[in-house]
Amino acid sequence: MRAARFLLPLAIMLSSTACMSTYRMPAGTPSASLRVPPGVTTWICANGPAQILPKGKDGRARIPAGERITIGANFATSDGYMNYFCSAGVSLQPEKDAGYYQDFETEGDRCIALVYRETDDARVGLAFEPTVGRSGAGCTR
Amino acid sequence: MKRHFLGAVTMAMLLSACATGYHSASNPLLGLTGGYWDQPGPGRLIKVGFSGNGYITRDKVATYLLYRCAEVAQREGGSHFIFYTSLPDAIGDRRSSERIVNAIGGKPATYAYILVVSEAEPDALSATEVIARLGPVVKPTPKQGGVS
Repeated sequence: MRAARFLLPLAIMLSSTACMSTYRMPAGTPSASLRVPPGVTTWICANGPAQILPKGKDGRARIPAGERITIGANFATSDGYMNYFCSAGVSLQPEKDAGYYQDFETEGDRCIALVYRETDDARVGLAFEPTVGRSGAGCTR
Repeated sequence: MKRHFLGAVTMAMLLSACATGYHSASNPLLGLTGGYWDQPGPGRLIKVGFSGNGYITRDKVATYLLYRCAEVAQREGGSHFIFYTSLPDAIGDRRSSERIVNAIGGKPATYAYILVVSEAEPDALSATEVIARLGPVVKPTPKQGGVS
């Protein structure tokens, strides 16, 4: 029963990302850094369909800078009786060498995945990213 | 061996029938029912959360969260903390003193972001005051039994 509780969300998560390949940034592309949240599958649309965004051991991923991309996340859980799946994303145009933070939050059965700019200029160390917009129209997941 | 297994099963059954208490979610045994957790970031904030099982009330989860925020503030060496219910609120410096708790699958869980500060400022919460006010609810002292 307990194994099923853990395996079920895993199965849902896998099925929701089964068609996604893993994103590899083209060599020589200017990049920015994104800290991704634990417990979700972060994906990226960069001039193409959604792909899984791999992260390093430090919990950060490299994302292309200077072009509009869509960053999102998939989340799945189960209470043993019902399965919950949620996916959300936003588009932005990252700046080269800048740091970003992806926040994934769930409230009830709704979820939101926003991206913020890390900055030393703000007291809390975080600021709104001015280029954030709607998820890209050509981005499917 | 069989006795250990039965003991573990009994303990698991007892735990699953009790409301989540005030303890860490990483506790190997009690953490099965939920508990508090915290993680540094983003930025200079600390994200603090509390997750409960289906037996705990939303009000109690909100109380536990606020109490834990005060403990984390003291652990980080601050006397006060600023309580934010979301990152947009933190960036816009919209301060709060409580959190509305929602439930997923009947299990209430919530979180908040805090900025630990070393001195009092408008709408910053005193860690000492919060712990003193909520302590009797969060960590009630056992009733003394005795003869009259």
